[in-house]
Amino acid sequence: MIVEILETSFLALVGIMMAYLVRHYVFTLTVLKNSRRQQLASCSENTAFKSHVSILIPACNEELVIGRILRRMLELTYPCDRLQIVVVDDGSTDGTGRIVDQYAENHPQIEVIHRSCSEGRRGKASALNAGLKKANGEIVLCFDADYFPRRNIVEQLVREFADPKVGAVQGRVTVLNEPKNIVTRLVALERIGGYRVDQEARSSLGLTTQFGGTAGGFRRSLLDTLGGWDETMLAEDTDITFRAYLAGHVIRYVNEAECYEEAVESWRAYWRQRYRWSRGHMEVAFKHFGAVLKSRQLGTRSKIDAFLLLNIYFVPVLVLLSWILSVPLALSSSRWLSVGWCAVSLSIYGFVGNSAPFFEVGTGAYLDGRKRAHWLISLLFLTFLYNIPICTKALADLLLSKILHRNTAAWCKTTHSGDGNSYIMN
Amino acid sequence: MVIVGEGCPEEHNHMGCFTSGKASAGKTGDNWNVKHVAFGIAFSAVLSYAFLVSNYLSIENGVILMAFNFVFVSMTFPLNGALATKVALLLACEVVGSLWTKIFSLLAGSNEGIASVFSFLGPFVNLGWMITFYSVTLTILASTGREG
Repeated sequence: MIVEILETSFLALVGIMMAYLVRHYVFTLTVLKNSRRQQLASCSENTAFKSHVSILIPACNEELVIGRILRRMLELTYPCDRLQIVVVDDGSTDGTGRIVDQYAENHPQIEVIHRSCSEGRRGKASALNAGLKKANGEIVLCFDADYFPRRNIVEQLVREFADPKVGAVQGRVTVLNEPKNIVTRLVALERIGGYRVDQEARSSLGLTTQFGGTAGGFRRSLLDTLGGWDETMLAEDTDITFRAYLAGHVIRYVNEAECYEEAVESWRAYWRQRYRWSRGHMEVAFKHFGAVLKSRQLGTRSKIDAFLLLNIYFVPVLVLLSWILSVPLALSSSRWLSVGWCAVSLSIYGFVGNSAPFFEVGTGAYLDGRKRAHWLISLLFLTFLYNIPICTKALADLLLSKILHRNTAAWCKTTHSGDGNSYIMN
Repeated sequence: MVIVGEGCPEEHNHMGCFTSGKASAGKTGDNWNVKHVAFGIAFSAVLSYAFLVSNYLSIENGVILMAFNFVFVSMTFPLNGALATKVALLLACEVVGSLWTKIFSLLAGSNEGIASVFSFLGPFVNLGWMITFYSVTLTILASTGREG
């Protein structure tokens, strides 16, 4: 009887993994078949769409990188008179405030909000909401301080808003400091799979495109309807994604709107960042799970995809469970173990980082014209293993905090070394 | 301003060295070769059937190989490159995969303890050759396909 229960549980877990595998298989095929071409053709008609745009840049102790993005903001090809750049100096104790003030003095389109340590440092959502109060554009874009966008990124993002159904847009994120070490190289691969294939496929198929918190933006009217960012959420970007969809809006991904980021450079920093992502994402799953299932705004396909997206960070925990279950099944010589593992073999890579199976990463790298990056795909195994304890700890901490009614999550900011500057040649 | 480094693709456009500009402008749309995919699926089905009826591999290992063949063909055969190169890679994949699984199943058959360990570590044993072979294939296709 116990063996039967274990076998059923094991097969249920394998079934969930297979569902994710099929999902990513469809995504990869979709991108290969390039249904995006039609979308691009229709977008090209909207290049004249030029609204007034506000760009929010929250920054807390970013003196090593803030100058780089501000310089880039001044190089944007979007008309200056339709551009407002709002930097939120969120309680910085280093030279961030001074650098931003210097730029603001010389360039009227740059405005600064200085928040003291006591009023600031409450997380990115809080800083964005502070910036939103000063923003006067019809479109509000967000960039992190360590980002470095294309010069024409604003046009590429904003033109999507010509379609009234579009409430938000997301550009592509690529790693600037990729050659730095093995961690940055693996993060770069995860980003390739996550954006080049995953986000593009979801956008093409009309599923749940995710707003990634940066290199994207919203219609101001939508932000006003939603009441801005939820400051209680760790993953404020995923939260606002689902709130936008539940309000009947569409988020569109623009692969050409490319923006470089400084990726985490050590395993410790990787742990901190992914812990925040996974715990935040799980919080969002608990918050929106019921609403997604009941929603009348989402069709059946979108609901299934939104459901899978919401639960993505639980999957590494399920992998761990299936592994634990496999021990007694192996000892009892269960006939289902080997059959189940057949499926797991192929799907196990589906739970790495941004949930990008090996073929998704490989296809993305190929489409990007990469020749050597494929060799590192096998090493994504390291991040896969690493994500299991990260997500398990995040879930355990989240459940504990819910049981004890105590929020133990502090917003742990990723520190940037500014080494990315060495990859930019003037 | 130009972005430098290995992460940067080989060609630079006017914006510096950004990835998707080149990729979406030049490559997409050419990446779906239906004839190659149809041929690849038919060919891999014949190979898988031959493996299953020959009793060379166990049913489980045969199913793993079939599943990987299906993913491999549908992900690599649509890409640029000669059909002969892809078929050669598929054949090499069959040889490596069948030898790999055969060796491990022989090892597992020699001792119950080893069999339990292998059944526990099964996915990683399989991933060892699958991912590596897929990586090598993409590298070859990325080089030859573009040169062609």
